Amino acid sequence: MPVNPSISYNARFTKPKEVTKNFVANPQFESLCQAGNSVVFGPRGSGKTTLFKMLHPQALAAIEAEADVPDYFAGINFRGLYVDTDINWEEQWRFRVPREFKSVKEALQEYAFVTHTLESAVGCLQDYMSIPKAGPFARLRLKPNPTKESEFAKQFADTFGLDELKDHSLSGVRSNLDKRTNEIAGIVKRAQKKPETIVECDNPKYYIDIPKTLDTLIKILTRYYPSTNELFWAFLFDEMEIAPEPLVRALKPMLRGFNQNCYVKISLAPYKTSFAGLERGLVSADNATNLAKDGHDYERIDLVYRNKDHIDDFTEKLMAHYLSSNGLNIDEATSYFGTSYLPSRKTRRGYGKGGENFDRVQELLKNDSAFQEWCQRHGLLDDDGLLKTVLDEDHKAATLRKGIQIIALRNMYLRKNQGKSSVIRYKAYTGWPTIGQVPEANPRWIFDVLRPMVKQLKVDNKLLNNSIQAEALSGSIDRFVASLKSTPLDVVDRTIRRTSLYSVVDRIGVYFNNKLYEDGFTPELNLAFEVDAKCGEVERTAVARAANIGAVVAVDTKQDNPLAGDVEGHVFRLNFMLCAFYKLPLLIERTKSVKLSSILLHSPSKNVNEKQGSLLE
Amino acid sequence: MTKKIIVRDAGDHDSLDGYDVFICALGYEERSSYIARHADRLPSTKLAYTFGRNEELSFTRNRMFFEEHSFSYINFSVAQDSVSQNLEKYISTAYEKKKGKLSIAVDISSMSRFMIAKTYYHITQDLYNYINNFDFYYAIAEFYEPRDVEELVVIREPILPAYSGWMKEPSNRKTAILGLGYEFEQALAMLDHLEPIRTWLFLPVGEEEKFNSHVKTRNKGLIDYIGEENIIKYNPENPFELYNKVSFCAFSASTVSDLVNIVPFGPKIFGTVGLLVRDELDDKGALWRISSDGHSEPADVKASGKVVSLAMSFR
Repeated sequence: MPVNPSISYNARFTKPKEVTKNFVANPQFESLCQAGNSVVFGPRGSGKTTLFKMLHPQALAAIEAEADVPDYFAGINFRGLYVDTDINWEEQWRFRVPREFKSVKEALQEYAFVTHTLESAVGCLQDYMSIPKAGPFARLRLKPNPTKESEFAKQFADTFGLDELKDHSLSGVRSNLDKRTNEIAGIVKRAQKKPETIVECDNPKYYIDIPKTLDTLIKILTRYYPSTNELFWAFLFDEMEIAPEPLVRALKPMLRGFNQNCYVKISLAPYKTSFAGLERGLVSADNATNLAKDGHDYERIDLVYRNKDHIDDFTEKLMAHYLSSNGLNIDEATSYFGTSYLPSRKTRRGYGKGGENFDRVQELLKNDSAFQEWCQRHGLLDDDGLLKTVLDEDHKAATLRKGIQIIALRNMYLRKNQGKSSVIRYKAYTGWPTIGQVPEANPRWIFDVLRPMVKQLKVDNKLLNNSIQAEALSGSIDRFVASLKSTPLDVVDRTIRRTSLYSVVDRIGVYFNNKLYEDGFTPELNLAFEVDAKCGEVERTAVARAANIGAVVAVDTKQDNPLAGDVEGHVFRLNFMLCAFYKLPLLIERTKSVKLSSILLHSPSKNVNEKQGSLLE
Repeated sequence: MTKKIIVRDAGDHDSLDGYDVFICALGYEERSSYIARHADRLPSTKLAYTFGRNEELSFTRNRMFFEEHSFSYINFSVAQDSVSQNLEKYISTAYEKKKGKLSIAVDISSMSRFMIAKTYYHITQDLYNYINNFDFYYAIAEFYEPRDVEELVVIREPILPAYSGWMKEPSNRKTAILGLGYEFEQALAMLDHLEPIRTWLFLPVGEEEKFNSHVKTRNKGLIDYIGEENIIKYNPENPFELYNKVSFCAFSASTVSDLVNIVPFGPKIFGTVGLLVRDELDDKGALWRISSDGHSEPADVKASGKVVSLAMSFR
């Protein structure tokens, strides 16, 4: 049976040992390997699962003795216990119970999650016994010892109330936990059909305290498998943004001093309601003692990039690996993709006569009266309205450099009806290195863009023309935009209006597109927006959801910038995939920002079928 | 306890003779009343679901017809408990009157997918003691051009909690079976949302060439992405054949994945068949609902004149 192409580079369905084969380390991985609690924030596809699975004992066991493992990785001081989740896994709990039974459902859900966590932990424990004695992670190996294992199994079963074990081993424990999962499944499947039946199954054993239970697990682990070389345990809770809210709420306090022998590492989309207050709560006297503090109780690790050089570096590494695994070479990138149309720091082009930038400026002067006026005002034109050739090249460069992407884009799109076909639409974003910059270091998007082109290169190893590259970009961006259009907001709007995530993002994109192409020329465009106090719940939710998908990226540089809580007062930009969609420059530097309420009032969506007019009315 | 359901080809059975109960929807589409209007004789118990909104276009004409023929209404915009109670009240009364098990015709033409699922759920879970057989009727729509506006997606979830399936472990592998229609972007987005390991695309190919062509063109990006080899063509005018195809595909998929997600777009008959197959898969299947929840612009839909049906009975 054929496999879905997007899955081949999705770590979720890749076994940990397979993940190691395609792993490209980024600076965030080094941070995750450090001692202590961590919260990894990143949108879907940004590589959270890959990072976490690299710390799975099956991955560690698969790394060969002669592999070149960086010190920070080889020296990790913890044994990870990997715990995953899934969207369908959450959906199966969506049945609504009468209010008076809500606590029964929540208790059962937590009980199910703890059972899953215990089973995952015991599975990892078994895997630590398979780590090679001679490999780079031999320190983490647990020596198989049937007597000890039997004692552990007995203690585990007694402590966590398992039925009597038939087999006093880790496998016996897992099979017993599996039985418990089946028992839960029976209750849930009945409740899916008749929610009120949940109360018939109410049982005191379901009412557990998650942190306390996991603390007990670590105590037992530490007792039976004590560390001889100062090793800790670490829970690796992956993709908690799609875990049910009550579970995530229960995990939050664990970031603060949960167990002295265990770290807690969580991966999460940037905004999860139940994590609100993770940082801001510190200033609240009421909650201050219960909340973790970034940089103190946990390390925050962002999987979005605030520096374009970092994007370029990681993209290049990922692409190099992907190309190499397909028999291609990143050093040949310009022979595969040609050079970029859009200027970048990597592709310096001259402003003197005959230089590429000089020609672009001259060309735009012929077609763009607003640009002509601007050049005139800045003393760049001669009497014939042409760019002065006698001016010092540095002077021209200093004046024009900031706006050179804007000049290039106006040149491309002002005259061509903004590009309706995908080839024209994305032509400006083809060529090396721009084609790699558009997916903005998001591994899933990078592979998605590259896949059809690599397929072509493997057949015919020669320059991919603009059309092929533009089609590849178009396919990926269309899939991304389709996701935006189809993501419900789940916000009950008291004014009866309903809106989509896409309609909010589209207004932002259209606003900046208008600024670039319909207003006068300016070399500096403010491409950032601030979620101001006039934005309501719908707009705030839309921005938070957009950040979780990766459609918008926080550009604040302060440590206390938005995450896990409310987006109000914080500044964002569109991601580069959407910048290409709206024909905007790929700029990351924060300039001034525009208030989102102002954008939404002045930029009605052109594309969305909505019954209301502008938002915020 | 539920009973096993047998799905049969209804053949050319296009008359409502012999049924005890007729259920349809009172909506704004002209085809809402098409099957009832063209019946030689209507059953004694006649029920119409109402939406509680969008009372425009052909709504008044449909209502007048239903009132002339003494239909009873069940309002779907109220709490679902009351919908269940009302349905049970009418069905049990018809059963008492007949003093025997009922034969029910369900006209799904203008029902929402949610209404179809709720009806099926109640019939198979709560009311089967009253029922001998129930048949779905579907008036195929006249061709209409796709609208060039984005539809809001307000709901994206398993159509009923009972049809959400069960995944024991988050790492369990999933398959997606997508029925294609004009909603190509929503179909693409579901792949991203569900992350299935394997995907099958059901492409409707009926007698209306323009429709076939639009569906294929609009879904080109998805088809290119998933690959032509994963397309299964079906004729919306042959629901029994469609049922067999979806059933075969779903059960084959369930041998290599732990959960089969059926995602219906396009002709309503695909979603209806998906319901039957999901029921057979039990907790290895999930049936999805992607809906604007009534927030899309109403458009009248006329019946083409062709009616198809699918027959079910309890073993």
